[in-house]
Amino acid sequence: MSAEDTISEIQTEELQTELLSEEKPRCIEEDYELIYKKPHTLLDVSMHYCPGCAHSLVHKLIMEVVEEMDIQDKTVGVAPVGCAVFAYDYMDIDMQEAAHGRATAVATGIKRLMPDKYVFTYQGDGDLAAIGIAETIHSINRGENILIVFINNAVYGMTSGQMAPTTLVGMKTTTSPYGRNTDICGFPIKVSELIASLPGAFYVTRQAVNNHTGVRKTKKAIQNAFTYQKLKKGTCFIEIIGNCPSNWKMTPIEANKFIDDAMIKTFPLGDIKLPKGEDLKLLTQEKHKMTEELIIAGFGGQGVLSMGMTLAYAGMIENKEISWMPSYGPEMRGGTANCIAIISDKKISSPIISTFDSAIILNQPSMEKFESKVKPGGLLLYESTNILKLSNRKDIEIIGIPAVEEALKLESSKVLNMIILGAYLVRKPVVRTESIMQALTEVLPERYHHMLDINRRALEKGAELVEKKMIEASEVF
Amino acid sequence: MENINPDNKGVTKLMKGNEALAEAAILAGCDAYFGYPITPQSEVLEYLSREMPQRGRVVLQAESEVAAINMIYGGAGAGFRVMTSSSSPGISLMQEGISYIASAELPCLIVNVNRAGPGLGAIQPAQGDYFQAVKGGGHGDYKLIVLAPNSVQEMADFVFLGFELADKYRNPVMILSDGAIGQMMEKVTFNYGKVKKIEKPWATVGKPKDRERNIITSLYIKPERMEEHNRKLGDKYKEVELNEVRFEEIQTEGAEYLFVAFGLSARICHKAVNLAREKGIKAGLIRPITLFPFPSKRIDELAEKSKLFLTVELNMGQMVEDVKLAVSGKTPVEFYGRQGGMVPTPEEVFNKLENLISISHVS
Ligand SMILES: Cc1ncc(C[n+]2csc(CCOP(=O)(O)OP(=O)(O)O)c2C)c(N)n1
Repeated sequence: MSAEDTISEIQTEELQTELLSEEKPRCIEEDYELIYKKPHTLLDVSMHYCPGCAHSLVHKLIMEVVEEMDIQDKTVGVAPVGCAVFAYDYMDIDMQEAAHGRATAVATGIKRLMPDKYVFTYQGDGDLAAIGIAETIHSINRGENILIVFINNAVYGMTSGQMAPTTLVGMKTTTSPYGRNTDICGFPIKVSELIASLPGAFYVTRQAVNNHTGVRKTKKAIQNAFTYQKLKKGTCFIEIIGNCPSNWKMTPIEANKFIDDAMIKTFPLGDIKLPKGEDLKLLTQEKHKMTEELIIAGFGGQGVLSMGMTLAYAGMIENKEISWMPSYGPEMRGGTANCIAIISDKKISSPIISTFDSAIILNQPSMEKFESKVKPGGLLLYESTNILKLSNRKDIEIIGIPAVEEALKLESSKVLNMIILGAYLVRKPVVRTESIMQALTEVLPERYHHMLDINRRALEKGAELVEKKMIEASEVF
Repeated sequence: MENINPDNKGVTKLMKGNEALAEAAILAGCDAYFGYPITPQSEVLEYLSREMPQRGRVVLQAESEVAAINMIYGGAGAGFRVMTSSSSPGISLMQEGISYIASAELPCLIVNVNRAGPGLGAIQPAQGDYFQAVKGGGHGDYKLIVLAPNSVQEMADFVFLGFELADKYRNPVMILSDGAIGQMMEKVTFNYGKVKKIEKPWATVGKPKDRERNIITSLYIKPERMEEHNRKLGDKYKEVELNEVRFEEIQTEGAEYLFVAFGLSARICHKAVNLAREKGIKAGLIRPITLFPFPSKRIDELAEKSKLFLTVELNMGQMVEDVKLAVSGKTPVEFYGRQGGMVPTPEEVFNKLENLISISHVS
């Protein structure tokens, strides 16, 4: 035992006696509501990172996501050579420490043998973009189903601030003491843009963690990437503009400002490659349960009933169990119409129900009437040019689509319902678009068959709008 | 237990050394192979690219040997039976990874079908990688268990043996072969029992709530901890030396002159022993099968009774140093070698022996 250890031991002993002699402290939780704590997947140890360093923050974000998705027992991480070499001292998950630059090759070995596990690498710019650029490019080109978290702090942190492939033009480091000279050292590599062109890259985004919005966006990106890994569609790559106050020779505050003032000029933030809507549909399909109970409500003339009927027809084409029930009786008055559509893989019990998995709402009165009838976790899809007063429920997904406006752009107010239906099917892919088209051919009288094409375009428009919404939503978190 | 390929179990076939090795990997339950093409061993990657996917196993052509060995690291760290193969320049590229694997104590099989070097060299057989294989190769203080096959049959057998030793000691095992053994065709019988696979509770497969996290690493930042680790490895290598020495002796009983050779050169020396015996010269051969652990003790015993050792290698003289260490001056140790992919004939080797004998009689 060293002298240092002895001293600290004595000190802890003293502290303990002090604490014992004092009055028993009151339990804080009795007086205050605990609103923030570290995830249990992050070990309760002090980190070796310098004050203000981005690494510790990003470690926490990743571990939060692992905790929230409850995948600790299915996650294997790969640590790099760089400041984050000790990541396994902080993350309470199985981890491997790779040689400098080889993290994605190691991850390839792990993931190929355990395709159902969540595998991620965590690498710095020296590790990933200099010595390991071949492994980076080839792993992504093979579309390895892993997440690569790339911390770009523009210097070699661990070895005390030498020039990195991402060092900014003119930036001074210990090995570019006169500033990075492009004649000698070339330009900073924009790795995200470079690898986004590879077909194996599924999701590529660049975020920064120098302010709270950035932190939240980064976390959302990490959530997205872990979720996408289930799809087995390719590599997710999250570049995070980090900082290095120690080697940039700045205070943490100055360093965070330097990110805004300089770093993001060379490395603009935002999504560089997003998954295709088709692929995202697979995700919702996975979540989708076997029975979908839907209410569609709006004014007469908005195509409420025919929308439900088309959906039911499409379900029948796909050999599903279906029921379609128009409202009748007193509700018909006042110009509102609604119908209940149920699509299931099992035999349907009651066709009349009072709560719904999803509600498609096309006018304000229906919003007021049905908003509370959506089951928790359900979907409320509404027409946003008509409806101004929204539901403030937090336990359901609420998406507004300006279908009236979009229908006018398509020069046919009649296709409003198909725009909405197209949007609905992205979130609830209960039937295929092709089945809807086939159903339309049967539902629409022959004289309207020239409208088939515009209906298809309307379906596609709706899908596109909701996909855009989903992506925006992922940005605001 | 594992899906033993029913077609080849117990079957005798005429095969190239490289192919026999690849087939044996399948029979031995190799879960994944990662490799990169290089002559004279590309047949391994080709064979497995054809045969592994059909069995639901993993095979991947990596972008380089650097990547391949690190894929091995990942797969072995996850507890799987994994293998790679290459030839000299490729094995050089793997050295960093091998050093990490040795330190992290990951069981795996690495095959070197040795060609002539240094540099890009020539694609013909050589044994110039003996030092690299036996003395470490990469940085730091570590040992591989090194097996030297001298026939197509042993190319296959040593895959089984190699995987078992790797698992038993949590240590990388290298098969050091050469271009001739890899390329030549001989009879091979795949006659193996059940594949033995052991539990690997240390593997990184995802941490359940009820166990500590598993970490695969070679980093011990505190010198005290690093030293502890070095000593632990050292103890393991001692145990290997105690238990796993393997060699073959040919006519060593009462032999006055002893060839020492491994792999292809041992085949040549075997014939030279026959030539010598026909002429009434009492020659014999000791063939190290494990190059690490080296059969030093046995060579030392033989030194008591013999007049001369002649070490024959396809290099400028590497194993001869280990023979000298083992003999420790008791008996003269001479060397004969060919290089660059050139292979001596049995007559050439016999003539060398005859020469040495006559010189020693004259003097
Ligand atoms: C083969 C090899 N070369 C060089 C090093 C030394 N080294 C350790 S970390 C590092 C750079 C790390 O920088 P980066 O990847 O940007 O990560 P950071 O420390 O900034 O987080 C280098 C060059 C090494 N460990 N191995």
